[in-house]
Amino acid sequence: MSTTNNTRKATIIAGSLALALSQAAAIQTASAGAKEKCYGISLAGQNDCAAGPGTTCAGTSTVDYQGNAWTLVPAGDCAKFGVEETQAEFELPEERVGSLEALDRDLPTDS
Amino acid sequence: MPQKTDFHSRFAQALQDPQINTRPLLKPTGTANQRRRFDVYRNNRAVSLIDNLRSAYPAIFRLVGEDFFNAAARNYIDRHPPTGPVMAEYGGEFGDYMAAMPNTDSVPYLADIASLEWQRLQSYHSANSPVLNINELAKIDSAELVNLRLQRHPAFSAIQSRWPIGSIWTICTSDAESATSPAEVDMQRSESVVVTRPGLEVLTNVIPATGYLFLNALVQGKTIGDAAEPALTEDPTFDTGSHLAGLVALGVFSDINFTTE
Amino acid sequence: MCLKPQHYEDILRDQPDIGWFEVHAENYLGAGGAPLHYLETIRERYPLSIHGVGLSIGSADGLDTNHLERVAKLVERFEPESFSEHLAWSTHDNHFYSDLLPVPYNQHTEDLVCNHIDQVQTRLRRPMLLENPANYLELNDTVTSESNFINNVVQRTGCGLLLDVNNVYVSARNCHYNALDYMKSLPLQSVGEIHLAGHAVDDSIPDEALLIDAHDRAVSTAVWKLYDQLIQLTGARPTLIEWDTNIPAWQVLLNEMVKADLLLNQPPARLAHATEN
Repeated sequence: MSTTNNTRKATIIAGSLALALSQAAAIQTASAGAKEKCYGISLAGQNDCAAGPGTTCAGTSTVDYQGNAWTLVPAGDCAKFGVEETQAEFELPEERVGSLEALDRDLPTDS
Repeated sequence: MPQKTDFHSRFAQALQDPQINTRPLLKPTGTANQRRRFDVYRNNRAVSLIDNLRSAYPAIFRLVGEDFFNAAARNYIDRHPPTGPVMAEYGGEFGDYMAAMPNTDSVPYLADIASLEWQRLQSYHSANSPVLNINELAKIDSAELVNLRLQRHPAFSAIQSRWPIGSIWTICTSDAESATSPAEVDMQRSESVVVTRPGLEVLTNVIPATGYLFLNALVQGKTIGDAAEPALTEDPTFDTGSHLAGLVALGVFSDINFTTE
Repeated sequence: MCLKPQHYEDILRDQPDIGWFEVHAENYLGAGGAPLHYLETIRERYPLSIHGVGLSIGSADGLDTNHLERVAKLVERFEPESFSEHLAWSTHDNHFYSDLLPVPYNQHTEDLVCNHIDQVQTRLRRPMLLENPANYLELNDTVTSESNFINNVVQRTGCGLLLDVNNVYVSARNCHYNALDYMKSLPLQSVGEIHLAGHAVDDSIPDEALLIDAHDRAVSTAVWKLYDQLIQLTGARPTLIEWDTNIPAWQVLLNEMVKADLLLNQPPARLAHATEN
């Protein structure tokens, strides 16, 4: 990349930074405390503080499960995502460069 | 390898292998069904570890179903037993282990979803640190800003997948009633997911692919100016400032790293 | 009262009149985040006891010093009224078995257990409490009684006793001995804390029910009765209700605690009594 090109890019970046950061700072000051989300799509899911695994000093009355995983197939109640055999090998589509708007449009909305 | 004959080794072997006769370990009492009594320990070990994997991987559980999950977890425990008693640190290879199993072609995104769940768990327990405030950056002249590097926050991690893992994860961790139908998810879409914990709560966000390029360069220690290069090459209209403001707001960074080039 | 993540918010909102809370050490060894935050906030308002489930006191390979160090840091940070661990092992050959496994009662394991308790007490700079196990079977390598073993360990190490009344009952039923006689043969003056819990009954084989220390339900009538008999002998001692699986609503746990308080016939037990002996 040529030096001229680099300088031009640096100017673009600097300009973009100056504008966006001052705006973002202003928004934050105006809505201090408010949950303002202007970037990224917050996924609802279990965003609460699920503690994850923990210890117990108790025994269990449940009997050890000894199914053979090598013969079972996954069959979850949310496994119906329609992946076909051939798709396992598919490449990333070219247009998949992403933009804020495009992602916003077809994501499930927070409930 | 010679069989160890001390009590602990013999008991441990019998715990792991139900074929081993436990009679020599136990007092010859008149009690029938000594086997059932020893099985209490076998059950406790297996069930508690399976339960722990289940609480670390709730979306995977929903994706593959109880039978498959339990059986896979049972195999995993034998191959990768925990080495320490802190359960929040056990099970990091479970996703890769499952994905390598046969019959998982129908869920090719399994390993990526598992990575996301594992990253969320690590984020939940990671060290506390203040997050970088956007005002700190806004104070700095933009010509200087391009030469700065940013310090990643200890609770931050990110994963880029060729699958829409954020969407899949959301559906698998929401109540069945309120969730979007899996059929509505565009399986052609790849997603980059950022995990952060600016306070106590773990946040999970999908960011644009160019944003991920920028982010990735930043956390590798590149200056803001250099880090924007790959994204600008991908998309000449890439708006560095907006993306930076967005990443800062998510809690990706803890501080400005003032060592400039 | 056991402190569970499900109840963090209830406790901070209601600030119930509870003597103290108990946590498992191994659930609070992360670097930061919500668990330690809540523990800190609750510690500001209540005394705490820390209960270890992973030190593997009965281990044959020596204690995991790295783990002991982490537990010691937690104890230093939160300054609990007491620290307790189990008469059991769970780690062998760098493999954690995720259960409290039984120790045979003989001279060899008595030496092991005493050395490990010495090591813990030296590092923590305080006496610990040792909890009696729930037994499902009798080991061939055992040559003395459990109460003999415990008496010797308490005498040699100066540790206290965490007497789990449900474990006493479960063991006595499973191994066919008298629970009250067993308790009377323990060094009761060393009891610093009492645990109560519910147990499951596997009655799949007629006339040979096997009791399992499941902590998944309310304390049984028989265990309440045994507890009543125990505190006649020991006087009031800090008492904890353990409920780890099928964890009920906060109010249900509170009701269990009120029952224990009625038996103790005094305001909620304070752990301060525990470290006096």
